[in-house]
Amino acid sequence: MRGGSGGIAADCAEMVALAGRFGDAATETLWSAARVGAYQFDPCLGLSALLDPAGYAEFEADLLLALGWWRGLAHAGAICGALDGELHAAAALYEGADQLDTMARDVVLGGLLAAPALAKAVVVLARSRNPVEAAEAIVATDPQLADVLITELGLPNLLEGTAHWYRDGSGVAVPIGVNTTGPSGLAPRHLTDVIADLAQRSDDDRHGMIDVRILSMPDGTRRAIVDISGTKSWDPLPTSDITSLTTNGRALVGERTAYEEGVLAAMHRAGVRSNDDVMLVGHSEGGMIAVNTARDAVAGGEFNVTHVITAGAPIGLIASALPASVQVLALENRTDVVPHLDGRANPDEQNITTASTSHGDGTIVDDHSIDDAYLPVAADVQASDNRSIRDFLTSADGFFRARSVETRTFQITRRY
Amino acid sequence: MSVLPDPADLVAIADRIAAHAAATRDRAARLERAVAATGWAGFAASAFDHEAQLATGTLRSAAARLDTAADALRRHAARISSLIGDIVHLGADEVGLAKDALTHPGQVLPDAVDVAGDGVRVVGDVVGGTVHALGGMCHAIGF
Repeated sequence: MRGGSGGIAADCAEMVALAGRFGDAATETLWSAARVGAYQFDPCLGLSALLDPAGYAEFEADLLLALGWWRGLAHAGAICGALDGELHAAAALYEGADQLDTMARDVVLGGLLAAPALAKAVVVLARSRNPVEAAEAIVATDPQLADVLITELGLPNLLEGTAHWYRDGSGVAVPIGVNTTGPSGLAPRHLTDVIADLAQRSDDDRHGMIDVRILSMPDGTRRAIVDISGTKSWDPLPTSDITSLTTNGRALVGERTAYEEGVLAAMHRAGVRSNDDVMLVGHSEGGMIAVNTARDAVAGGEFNVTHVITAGAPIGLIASALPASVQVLALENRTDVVPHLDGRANPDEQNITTASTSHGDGTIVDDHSIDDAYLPVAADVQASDNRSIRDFLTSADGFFRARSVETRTFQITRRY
Repeated sequence: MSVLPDPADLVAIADRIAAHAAATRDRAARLERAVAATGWAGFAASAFDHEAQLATGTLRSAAARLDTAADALRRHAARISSLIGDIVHLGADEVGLAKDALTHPGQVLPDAVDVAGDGVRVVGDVVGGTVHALGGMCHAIGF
């Protein structure tokens, strides 16, 4: 588990907030000391000393003890001020160590498991004579190796420099109709229901299929969940298939895509209003589209995206661009290589929770599958008592209390 | 403006000091709640807890001392009030004595002795208090 309300960023923010409280206490206490000290110079007190010098002396002695440098106000103010400084310094060190840890972890973990991964690949190759199966064994054993290799190869930088060259065309949302079958016809009650509808959409043989689900709440308000399916085409050339490699290359580095354009068009056509709370859900490429769409929809005031759920999506390069108002739950299967294709672990931010468990049969396809890997991952996450996960699910609870749902299916295509 | 201190002013100062004491205690309680709400655990957290307790403990100690000072000031104000009462009473007696000296000169002498006695007592209270305070200071210094 990484990030979220129980992550490093959250701890640092908590430290800084507590530091501020001690700093305020220091200021208020020292100000009190100054105000109380000034009372000694009240003319009335001076006159009273002439009539009752003993009483005056007793009061003065008590006051000096209260103001003084041992267990007095000045001492208390100094201790509070010191704690303010210490907590700020600790937060800065903690954050710095975590950044170092993120960079080092991939290299170290990737390196540690590289030898066992390669050894397993040799065994698999000897048994099956299938190099693809052997390659799968490597990534299943050591997914972090993918992070390291991809970064070393400079793939993200290459994509960032060339993504805008890819001809992406315009996204078109073709309405298919209202869907009442399977999970699409039922209002979701749990995280697993959300992933089950995503699976239903992804299992469609047609490419670029999305669902826009309008939830009607008991109090008359509405919310929307948009399910975005992932890559179905490996064609690198211009194609009307919105899920092609062009979309992957652009989305990985945060470029706007025709797929995103199509998703937004579908949301308008389905009747999602600008004040409806919206949750975007995506698998693989669909997850990247969900993140980029949320970023742009919120920035432009087009839709009120409050939550994003991704499954098996490489969002390490793009998630930080989301505003803090968007809560993200990134589901990752530990042996799935796809989340590592950006060469970067997901950021540890208060609004970004990355939850990882292990499912699948060790093959690239199965470990990336929604049905075989990510539905079980969702079940594990739903049952978790981890603080960050529980806080995310609590924040999303409104999406699980709908009275009814209307699901409209669209196919997003590309035209030039 | 009166040359005598107003005990009500002294009590008002004592009340303000007591208010600072209450505010300091509230500050300590708020910090304790904020620290408890973090739920931090571990070696570093234990060390921080100790420092935080020192900070809030010192705030509470300072608050208690402010209350002690406020109480001392209230007692001082009460003594001032009593002394002023005696002085006013003494002054009234002298005025009455002067009137009686004009109208009943034969009865003035016993009354004059009474008034003089009151005056000696008031002066004695002030002087005695001064000597006591000086003695205490000398003892504290080490003479």
